[in-house]
Amino acid sequence: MASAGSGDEKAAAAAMITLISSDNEKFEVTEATATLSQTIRHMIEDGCTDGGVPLPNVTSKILARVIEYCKKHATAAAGEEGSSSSFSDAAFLEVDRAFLEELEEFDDAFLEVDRATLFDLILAANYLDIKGLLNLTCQKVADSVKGKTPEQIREMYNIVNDLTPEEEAEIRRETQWAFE
Amino acid sequence: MANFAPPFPLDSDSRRRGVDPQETEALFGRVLTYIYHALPNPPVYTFGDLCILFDDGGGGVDRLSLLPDKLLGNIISRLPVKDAARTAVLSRRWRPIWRATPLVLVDTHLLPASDDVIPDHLDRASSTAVADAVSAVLAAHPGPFSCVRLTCCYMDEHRAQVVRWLKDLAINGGVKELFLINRPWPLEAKTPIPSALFSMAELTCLYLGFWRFPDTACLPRGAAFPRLRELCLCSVYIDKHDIEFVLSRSPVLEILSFEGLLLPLRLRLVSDSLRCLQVHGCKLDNITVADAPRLERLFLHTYEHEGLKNRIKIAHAPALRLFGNFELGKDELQIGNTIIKGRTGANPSVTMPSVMTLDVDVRFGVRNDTKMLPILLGCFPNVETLHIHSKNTTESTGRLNIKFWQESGAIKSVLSRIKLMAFHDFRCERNEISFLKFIIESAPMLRTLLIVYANGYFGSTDEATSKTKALFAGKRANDRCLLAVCESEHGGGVLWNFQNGSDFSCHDPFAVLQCSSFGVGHWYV
Repeated sequence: MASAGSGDEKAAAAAMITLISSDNEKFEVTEATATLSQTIRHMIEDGCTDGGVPLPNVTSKILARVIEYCKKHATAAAGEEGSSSSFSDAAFLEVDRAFLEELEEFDDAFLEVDRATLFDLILAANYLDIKGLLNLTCQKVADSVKGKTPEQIREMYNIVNDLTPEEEAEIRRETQWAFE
Repeated sequence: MANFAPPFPLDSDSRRRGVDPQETEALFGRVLTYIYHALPNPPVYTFGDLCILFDDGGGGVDRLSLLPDKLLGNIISRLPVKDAARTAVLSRRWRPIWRATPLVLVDTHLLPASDDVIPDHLDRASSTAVADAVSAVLAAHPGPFSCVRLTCCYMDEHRAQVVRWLKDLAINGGVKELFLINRPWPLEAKTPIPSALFSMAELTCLYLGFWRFPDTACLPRGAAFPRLRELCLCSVYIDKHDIEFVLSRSPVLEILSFEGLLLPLRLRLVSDSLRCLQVHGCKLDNITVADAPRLERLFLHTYEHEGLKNRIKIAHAPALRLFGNFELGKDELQIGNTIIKGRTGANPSVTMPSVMTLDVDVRFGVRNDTKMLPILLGCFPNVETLHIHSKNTTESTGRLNIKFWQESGAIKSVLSRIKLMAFHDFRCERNEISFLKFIIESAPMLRTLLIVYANGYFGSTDEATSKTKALFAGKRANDRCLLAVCESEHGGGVLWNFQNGSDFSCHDPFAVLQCSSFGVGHWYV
């Protein structure tokens, strides 16, 4: 992905954005990386990014992870454009496949975090409006719930059951097919 | 393209002729396989229940339930329908969120095994159990559903339930994506689909399998698909005027696909919105692209229809970029008022200058085919990517040497623009080799040559390499060319991939290959 790398460097020379976490740490990122966030994209479009973008809802620890995700996927997006324009030159089949596999591996590894971090990432992805990251993290939670009984889910996530036994029995009756 | 048997005919005709029930069963399975192949993967899958989350030891706080409603809804919408319903009893917080979340209902998830795979064989008891479960799901959740995919019911036997389902699914503007694949037995699509289908105003994607399309003349006046973007009809009985009705009532339809239709397709295409037309496993009476200003892709993989030519007429398709698979022996192309045949010549009024990618079947042993190839190519003066499928044939008119191609003048100007050529089903025959040598000596812009060996003709990587490199040993028009070599994974051709075909980010669906374990070798020559 040499061409993608050089594309990223060009963009870097063009525009850098400073992001400021809730604990006042500053992160310099390229515009291509930052604009994976629709929230930041709109700020840039409105011209209110001079002096940095304060992100009072995101800690430096989480912001660092979010930037790691955005960097990888911004590079991927640039690489994809590059590969399609020179489609007939590339050894297209293998390159594309390897490329997608690498991205999937990155995503899998990226999600190997503890639960608290996962929830922080979901909230950050939601606040920053980063669709890919929100999909990825919500899917992770959904996958963890699949095939489990309500009791198992409650235990896993410390959910307190505040339904009366009658209420619970009634809901279970209505959705009996889900418990067969 | 593919050598599989046509999904025909299991109508009353074949029963009169006394078709063996076991053969019928096998045929049924095959037809279903083609249909399932045409379906996209469901948006929600059961896999994932082994997913592990690291404990943070974080003080017993329920951070999941603290997420905003919108995010909890996002998570629920990613669950199979049973898993989604189980969240409703977690606590008071969850039930209203479950009720308000548009769900995905995939009926294979309601089978005892709760699987993502559509079973080939299904007994009556399972079909009834699934139908009852679908009814219960639709009764328990107020909707609307984002996606409903039903493939496991013998729906003719649950007629009243199916009518009820469609009414439920039409509530509140209704379902967005609907896949309604019947399992008819006997293999006939006699039952018209309930007309509630036409009141689903939110429908964006509709796949129907094994139904009779309702007589659109009897529909209420306002019947329309205002948001329908994609329509796929698999083994559906539909008349020409009903297809035209649907086209005229679907103002944003971009993708129209036909798989294994039960009657020869007759289609007159008039659409301001359509971008992709795919016809696979059908007999073709005739297709006329009368007025399709946005049509970019036209994919045809058809069967012979009573020994007649498949007639394809293109009157107005100024945006058409991808066209194929054109079978020289079987298809007849008409551009404007001119039928393309021998001696049409390179008349600029009978060309399609917008087409950039072309896919053609050639029987290199048959002289009529090889004579037609230059004439056909002459109609596509701007083609940059050319896919040639070499078809095996028992007829043979003997050897065609390189001189034959050198003397067919028209082809030369066309080859001057080719940048990528893929030669599929290469069997190392002399006629194929002389054609390839001719390409190499007359295509100055050729940057990539892909040779796909027919399955079983690829001895070893070394042998294939030396054979294909030898093609470049003689005169050549280009100074540097990427040569890629692989072997087709399947013997009898491959099924057309509807999803690649209609994926507008996939630049050349003809180039998406299934290679054998030899992989793809490539070198610059």
